[in-house]
Amino acid sequence: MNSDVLVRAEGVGKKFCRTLKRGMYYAGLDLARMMVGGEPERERLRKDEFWALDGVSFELRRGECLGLIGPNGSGKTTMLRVLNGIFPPDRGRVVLRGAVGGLIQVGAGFHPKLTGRENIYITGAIRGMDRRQIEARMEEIIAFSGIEEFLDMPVQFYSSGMLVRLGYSVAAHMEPDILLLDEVLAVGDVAFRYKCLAHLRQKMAAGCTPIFVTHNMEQLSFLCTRVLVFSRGRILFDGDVDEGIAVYQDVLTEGGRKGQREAGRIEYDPRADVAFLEVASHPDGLIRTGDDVVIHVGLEVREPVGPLALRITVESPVAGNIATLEPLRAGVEISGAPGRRVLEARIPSIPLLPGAYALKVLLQERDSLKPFMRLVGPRLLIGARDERRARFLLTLRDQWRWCDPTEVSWCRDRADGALEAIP
Amino acid sequence: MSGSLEAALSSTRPVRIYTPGWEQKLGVRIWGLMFADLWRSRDLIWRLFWKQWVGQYRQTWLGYFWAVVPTLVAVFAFVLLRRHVLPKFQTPIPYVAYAMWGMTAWQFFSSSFQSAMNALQESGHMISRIQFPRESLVFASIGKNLFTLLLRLFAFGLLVIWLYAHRADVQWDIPRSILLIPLSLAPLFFLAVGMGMVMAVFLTIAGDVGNVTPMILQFGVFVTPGVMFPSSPRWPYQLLGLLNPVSGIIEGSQDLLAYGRMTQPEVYAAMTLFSLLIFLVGWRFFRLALPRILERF
Repeated sequence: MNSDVLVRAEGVGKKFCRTLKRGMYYAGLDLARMMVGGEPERERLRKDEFWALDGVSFELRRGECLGLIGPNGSGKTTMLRVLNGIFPPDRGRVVLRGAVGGLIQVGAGFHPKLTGRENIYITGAIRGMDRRQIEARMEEIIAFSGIEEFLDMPVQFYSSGMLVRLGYSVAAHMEPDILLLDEVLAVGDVAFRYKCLAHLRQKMAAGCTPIFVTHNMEQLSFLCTRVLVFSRGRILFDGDVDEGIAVYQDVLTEGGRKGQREAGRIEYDPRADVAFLEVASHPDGLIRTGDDVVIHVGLEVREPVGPLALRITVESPVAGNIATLEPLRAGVEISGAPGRRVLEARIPSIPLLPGAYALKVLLQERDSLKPFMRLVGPRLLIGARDERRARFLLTLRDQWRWCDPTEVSWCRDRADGALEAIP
Repeated sequence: MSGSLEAALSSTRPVRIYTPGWEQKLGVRIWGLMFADLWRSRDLIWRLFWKQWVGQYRQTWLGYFWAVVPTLVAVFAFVLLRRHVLPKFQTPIPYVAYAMWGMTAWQFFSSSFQSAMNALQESGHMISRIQFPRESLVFASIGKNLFTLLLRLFAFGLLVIWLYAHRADVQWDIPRSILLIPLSLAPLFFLAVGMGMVMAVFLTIAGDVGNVTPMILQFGVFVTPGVMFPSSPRWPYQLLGLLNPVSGIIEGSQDLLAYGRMTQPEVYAAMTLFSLLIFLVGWRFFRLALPRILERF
């Protein structure tokens, strides 16, 4: 094994059981076999078992930062646990060189009645630090958490954000060669998240090699040099971050096509209703970035009500809610008079990058905000064009050119050579 | 393949290789790993114990007094029973002291056993997410019971002083080694941890275990000579004392209290060896089973 290779997975497989009762039975059976010196059933899939990881192989070298992405249940977290040694693989093997640390479950082991300071000792000990190591880093940990003034208060009075800060600060001050991270930066406020990202970059510069499970593409492209895209326990793609993100979004789109029918509907008041919501189809069946999108909404008012307000929220699987569509903003009023009507929304040149987006509909009374109904409509699927140059979520149709400094107020206000002074 | 592996092993960084059942394949060497893990986690055990202990008593007014209450209540009930209900029997030391000692020892065993059994369940999600020696959860959970034992022994000491101060008819030569006698209860620790580790695994596989065990333990008071009443030399009651390791250990220590020596040292020795064996077997079983059951948390 090359001395730069820190992690090597060779055909790693791990199986789980879908049902609790059968899982109990299999666990008992396997244990009985092990007690008499036998082997548990590793190769064969028994009824209700499935491969959560199936033939996963990769190598990771010092200086790389690996991102693991994929839809829920695709095996990322299981892979991380196998790497962490929590359970051994059922097939294949994993070789790790160097100390392994986990930024996983950052608040683990906190006792609500103990103070922040006392909990630092506990959670530090769980992560393998002894008293001396914790005390040596105490100042740093406290400073990093940014919650000095609450440190001698029982943590049951902490806000969830403060708990994350404290937990992260302790876990982040370990010094492993290989650092496993599982969605830890999904919480906390933005400022703290950026602080953590910057801190991780520092650790990478100091020789730490992170493996990172996330659904946040922004953090992924900020930190990672390489991604593995998982789907159903296998590695679908191994390589460049941007390409990996595109593959991941294709996987989500694929899942989105299958999930077309999983619409949810909550009715609060039958007097007014959204009868249907339809994304007008394109000739070749898929909308692409930059296409015009037309959405039709059927409204049915059964009894007279006050003026209505309609809102369609566009949700991205990776970024949450990203936009709303509202007729009222365009000056289109919806009266509460009984009848059936159809509204049309037109989004010219849609800036969304490939992926599956959810359309969530809310119909409410305009003045009282009393809801009539909520609906998760069909997905808005954006397909990939050939070129995949844009990243993240949107394309802003940016146009660039060289310009004359005299056009620019910043330059006009200064003497010659002002361009060098741009901070 | 193996050549490159040796190259990896020869470098200074620790190398870990995880293969299916790698711990099983270590054979006898697993014991080295187990004791190394135990030594490595001494700090963690102390912290986990301290967390439980402080957490339990921080928000109380009477604090440690609560540690002694269950024993006092049970002893009070035993004294009433003996006076008014049970057939007469003799104890080598005044009955109230006898029952107090027996109950203290029994409760130490039964609560340690239950703590050890429940230690994995009570640790929540971290057990399947963070890598640390899981035994430390079990050992730490016993710490609470050890401390409670100390408090109860202290209460026992107060009781003995009270007996001598207020009862002229006490016929009991207290051995000079009385302060060392509690050490004779040590096998109970090993027995409880060993059994607890085995049951912790079963509890993970089937929740039923958690419902049955407390019932059995409650019943245990009545079939463990030395707790409420001494063992009987008559057949078949004799069997209770001979087959029950807890009884053999408690009665041995009661002999020490009464006479300063054991009347049946061979029984005590056998039960002590048995307890140590259960401890080692239980611990090994725990290690063997853990990788297979951790996915169930």
